[in-house]
Amino acid sequence: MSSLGENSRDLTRGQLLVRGVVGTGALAAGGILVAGLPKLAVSRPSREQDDRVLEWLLQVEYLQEAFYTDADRRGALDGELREFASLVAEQERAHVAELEEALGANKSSKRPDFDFGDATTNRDEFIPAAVELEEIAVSAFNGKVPNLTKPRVLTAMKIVSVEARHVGWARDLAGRNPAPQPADSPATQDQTEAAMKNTGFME
Amino acid sequence: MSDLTLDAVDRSGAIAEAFDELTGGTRADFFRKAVIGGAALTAALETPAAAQPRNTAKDVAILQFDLGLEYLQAAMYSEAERLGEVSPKTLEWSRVVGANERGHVEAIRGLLGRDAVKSPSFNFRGVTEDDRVFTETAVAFEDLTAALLKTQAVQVDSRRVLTALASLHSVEARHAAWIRHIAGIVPAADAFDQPTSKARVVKLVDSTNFVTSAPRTRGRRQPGYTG
Repeated sequence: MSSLGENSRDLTRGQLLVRGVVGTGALAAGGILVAGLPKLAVSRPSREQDDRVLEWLLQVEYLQEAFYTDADRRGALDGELREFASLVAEQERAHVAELEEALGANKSSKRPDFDFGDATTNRDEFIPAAVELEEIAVSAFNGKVPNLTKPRVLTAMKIVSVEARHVGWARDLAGRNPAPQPADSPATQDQTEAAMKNTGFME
Repeated sequence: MSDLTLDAVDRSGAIAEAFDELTGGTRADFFRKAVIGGAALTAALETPAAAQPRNTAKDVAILQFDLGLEYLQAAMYSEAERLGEVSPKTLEWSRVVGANERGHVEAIRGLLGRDAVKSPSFNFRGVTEDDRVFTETAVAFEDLTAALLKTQAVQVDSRRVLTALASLHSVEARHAAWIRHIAGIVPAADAFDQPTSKARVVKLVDSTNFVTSAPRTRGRRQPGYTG
């Protein structure tokens, strides 16, 4: 449990699974909570900062929304995966709408273009990609929550909770441990940005 | 919205039914005691902890309540793991989630320092051996814990505590989704998870009658209950 940076990179690579989690659980939680905090760029919350943070989280949501909407529209998945993609697509669209509404006229970012290749049609590519995108979202929100004003803390918590449900569900579908760590490491914006680029989905 | 979480889970009334069978009184008042009297009590009894940032009285009360809830979850899931009577999937859930909740106990104790309260005693009254009742009770606890942490995230004074609660909160939501999946309930039923009040959680804990003694009050333990 050396530094937050290492944790978060591991997290976005989806490698947490391979760690011996159970025996180290207690230490891991303390380590993340105590060691992780000073690394976060925590600055005094303000309305202006809220907007910057929400703009950023909207970028994360755009990626997810586009991914699941594409999977749902192309309709190549079957069984529970299809159900998962369809329901999650609807929920990610609701998250985008919520953040756009919260930003209102202050919204400055655009919806980026994405190329998902076969990841939205081939189940063997879809599941790991879904896990990855949800992990990115959870760590991104957790990293930003402390920078928000109280009303926006609640906005973010109501969303990240559902992202965490998605990742738990996706991991269970993938046959991977849905909750491999007692605490979810927060990610910095740089770490999230790198992880998003690393998916190969950003045009 | 505070009542939605459990109601959504308990569509068949199964939890309510289970709790009706299990409920006999309101001995489970540890949580109220922990919140009202815990800080003063432990401040008087504990030796001073190593230097760490001081928590405000409000943050101490919030963390002490959470600690009680984490003790309960850790004990319940660890017991299910030890007894090994639930289904293989639920057993695996208990093993992983029990370890996570023990991690949460340590994390919150670390945040509280000398204000950490000790664990009460529990009697799970057969719930840890009954796959159906255990699973549905676990769904209720995980959903409600995630909901409670949202309320607290807005309430806490310290952003250090907020950061910590956020990183535990998403793990509780993972647990909730996982146990729902095992139970055949939609893991993510709504686009937004709503917060819930402490009172709602106290009500759930009381209804289970799982808490048999408050910490440090061994003399008041109920004698000879037939659980």
